[in-house]
Amino acid sequence: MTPSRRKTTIVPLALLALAACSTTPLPNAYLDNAHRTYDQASSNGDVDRYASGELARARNALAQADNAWTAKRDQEETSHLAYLAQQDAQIAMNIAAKRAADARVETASAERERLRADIRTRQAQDAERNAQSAQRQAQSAQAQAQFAQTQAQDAQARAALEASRANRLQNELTTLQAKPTDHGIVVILQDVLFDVGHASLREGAQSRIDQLAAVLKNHPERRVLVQGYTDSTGTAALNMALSRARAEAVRLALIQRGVSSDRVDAHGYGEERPVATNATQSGRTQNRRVEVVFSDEHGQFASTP
Amino acid sequence: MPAHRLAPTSPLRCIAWATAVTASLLLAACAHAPAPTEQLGASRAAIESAQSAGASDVSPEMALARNKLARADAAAKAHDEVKARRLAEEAALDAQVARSRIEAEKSGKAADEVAASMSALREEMNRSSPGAATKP
Repeated sequence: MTPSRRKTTIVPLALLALAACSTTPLPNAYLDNAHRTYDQASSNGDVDRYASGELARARNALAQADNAWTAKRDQEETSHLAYLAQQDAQIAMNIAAKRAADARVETASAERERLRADIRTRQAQDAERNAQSAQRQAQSAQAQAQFAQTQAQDAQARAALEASRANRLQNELTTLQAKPTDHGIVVILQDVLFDVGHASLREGAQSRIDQLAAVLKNHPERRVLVQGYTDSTGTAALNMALSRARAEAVRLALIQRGVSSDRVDAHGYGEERPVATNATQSGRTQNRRVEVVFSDEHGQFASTP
Repeated sequence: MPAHRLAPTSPLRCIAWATAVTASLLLAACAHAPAPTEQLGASRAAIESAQSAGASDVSPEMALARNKLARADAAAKAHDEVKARRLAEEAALDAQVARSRIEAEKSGKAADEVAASMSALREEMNRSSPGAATKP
C-alpha cells in the first residue's frame, strides 16, 4: 500500500516541476493523470462503500476540468482544476481506507467481546463440571463406606449366627451326653443298642438315632464319622468285621432319617483303642461301643482319628 | 459655487483631477479582483489541521502545501489574485491528502493490532478448551 501511495504523491510533484518549466504537453497531462487517479478510486470497492460522497466531489471537479479543456482550451485553468480533481480522488481513496480499517476494528472488537464471553462461559462450565466430579467422588466414597459398614455388619451377624449355632449344637449334644475331645465332639453309643454278636440296631436304639439325625439336620455344616469298636472277646478279624458292620448300621439309620450320605462316613476298628480294661465285665461293656465324631462347622475333622 | 470660482486651466485643479481619477481607478480595481483572503485562511486552517492530525512536515504533501501557501501569499501581495487563489486552493487539497493519509495509516495500524489480539485470544481459547476436556 505504501509504495503505491508514495508513487501517487510523487507524480503530481513531477508534473509540477514540468509545469514550472512551462513545457506542458498537449493534450493536458494533468487532466490525463486526474482521469487515471479518478478511475483508480472509482474501481475501488472500499471507496464505493465508504467514500461515495468524496468520490462524487472528485467526479464533479473532474467534469469542471474537462469542461475547461474542451470548451475553453484554457491550459492553465485546466491544469489547476485537474490537479484539484486528482487530489480529491486521492482524498476519497485515503478516507475509504481509513473507514474500512475503522470498520474492521469495530467488527473485530465485537468478535473479541463474543470470544471473551465464550471463554468465560467455558470456564464456568469447567468449574461446574469439576464441582460435579468432586460431588460424584464424594458420593462414591460415601457409598463405599456404607458398603464396608454393611459388610462388617454382615460378618458380625454371621459370626453371631455361627456362635449361636455352635452353642445350640453344644446344647443339643448335651442331651446325647456328648463330650468334647481332642478330635472334636464325640457321642458314644453304648453296645446296649445292639444284641451281643449282632450288628442290627435294637428297637430301643431308635430314639437316640432320631436325636442324632435331628442334630445333623439342624447343623447342615457338620459331618460325622461313625466309628465301631468291640471288646477283645473272639478273633480280631471277626471283631473288625463286627465293628465295621455296626458302624455301617448306624450310618444307614442316619441316612434313612434324611441325612445326606456324603455327610456320614463309617469305619470299623475292631478291638483297637479300648477305653477300659477287657479283663472285667464292665470294662468290656465300655469297650463295645459306637463313637459318632462331629466335624467342625466347615466339615473338617480336627485330626484323623 | 466655489468650483465655479476656480479657473479650468489652473495647474492646481489639474492635479486634483488626476488624483481623484487615480484613486477611483484603484478602488475599482480592488472591487473587480479582491484578494483571496478567505481561501488563504482556509488553506492555512487545512495545513494546521493536517499537522495536528499527525501529518509530518517532511511528508511530500505537507511540503507541497506549505510551499504553495507561501507562493499564494506572495502572489496576493503582488496583486496576482488568480494565481493566489489557485495556489491556495491546491495547498488546501494537498493538506487534506496529507491528513487523510495519516488517518488511514493510523486506522490501518489499529486494525492490525486488533487482528493480532484476536488471534492471540483465539489461540488462548483453543489452548484452554482441550486442557479443560482432559481434566479429570
